[in-house]
Amino acid sequence: MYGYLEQWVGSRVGAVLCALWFAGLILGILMSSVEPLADFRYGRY
Amino acid sequence: MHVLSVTWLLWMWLAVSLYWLVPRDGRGLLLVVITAVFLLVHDPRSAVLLAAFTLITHAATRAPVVTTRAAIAAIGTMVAVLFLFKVGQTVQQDWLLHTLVIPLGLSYYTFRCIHVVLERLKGHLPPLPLAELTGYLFFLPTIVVGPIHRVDDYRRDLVRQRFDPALLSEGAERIIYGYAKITILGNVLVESQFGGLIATLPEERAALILYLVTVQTGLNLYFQFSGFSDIAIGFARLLGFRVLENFNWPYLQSNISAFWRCWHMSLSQWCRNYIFGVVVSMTRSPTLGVLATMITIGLWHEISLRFLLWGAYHGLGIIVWQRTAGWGERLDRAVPAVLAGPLHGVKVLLTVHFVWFGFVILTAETPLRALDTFRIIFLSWV
Repeated sequence: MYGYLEQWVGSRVGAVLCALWFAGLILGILMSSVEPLADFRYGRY
Repeated sequence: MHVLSVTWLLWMWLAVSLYWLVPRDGRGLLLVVITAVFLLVHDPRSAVLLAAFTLITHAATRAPVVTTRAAIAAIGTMVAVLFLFKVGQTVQQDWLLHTLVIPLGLSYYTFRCIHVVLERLKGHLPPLPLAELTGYLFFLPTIVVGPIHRVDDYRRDLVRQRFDPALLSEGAERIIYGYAKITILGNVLVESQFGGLIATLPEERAALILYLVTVQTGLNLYFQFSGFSDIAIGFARLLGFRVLENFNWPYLQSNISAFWRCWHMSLSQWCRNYIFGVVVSMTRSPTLGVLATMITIGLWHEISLRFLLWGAYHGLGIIVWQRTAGWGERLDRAVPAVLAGPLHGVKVLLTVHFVWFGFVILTAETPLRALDTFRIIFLSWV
């Protein structure tokens, strides 16, 4: 992700955007990581 | 234990941190020990079975030249064990008794063992020392949800192995994307939000409801399973291994054959190599080869009528597509360039709907119920 951003907006802004992107993703994961609603039994093969 | 659980995260953290702390020579053994302890804690039956399968595979393949008899005996034994567990699971489900959960990862490591035996039989692989074979089979990242990674990839990375921050960063990124697919896209957007939207529709719009539920199942299945695969692939990269990809934008493919080259790729490639090739060489019939391959893919998931029908449905889909591919090519050449994009879009939509409607066979209680669902979706509009 950082590689793409660096090409478009430079290394410093790229690093900040990359950090924000992953922080947002992790926050989103934590906020929605309740018990999985869907169980297609792929954990049980 | 679910791949989403904190327990799995702790196992990943433990494995990666210890792995890079010990000297290079001890890493393989360490990973085997961690995987064995993991299996003993979460499913001791699986630890015993995997150890037994490793010994069977080693016994059958340790000679400089593997005999067909030894290969058949080893494969037959392992397939029989897998078959018994799968049939037991189906029978118990059908009788509404306590569901028998098959040993953790059994379907995956059985196919890995068969892969080693067949590659040795073909002479594509030298005899593997027991330590190397054990390292390949007791590989924690892919134990629970695959992919069915290949032994030559494992051996290549074992030789090249060094601490690579770029690979570590790629792995961490991949794991975050995997978790995001499962939780944000799968659980929240598709299951909760889209599911909530479907729940608000009035009952008299049964066809639309059933259609949207079918779409929901297809999307959710993709996000969940490809998310699991991303986590496994990312975890392997944290340990310095590149394992086989499992998904490559399958819902954007323009025909069913291309879909199967991009969906659960490690299983479909395995079946193409070892089922399709063998059946075609024995019968000289690609049609039978396709049917046998797709039915095997179906039954690998579960030995039951619904998975048999699902496999046959996809097999027939591929056969029909292969027989009509010439018409499609003529159509491509006949349409003006400006219409090429929309035509491709139509093909993608047709393919993805073929796949999603296939999931109806799996989610319906009986094949008759599945037919009923199709009747409501397709005929209640008329």
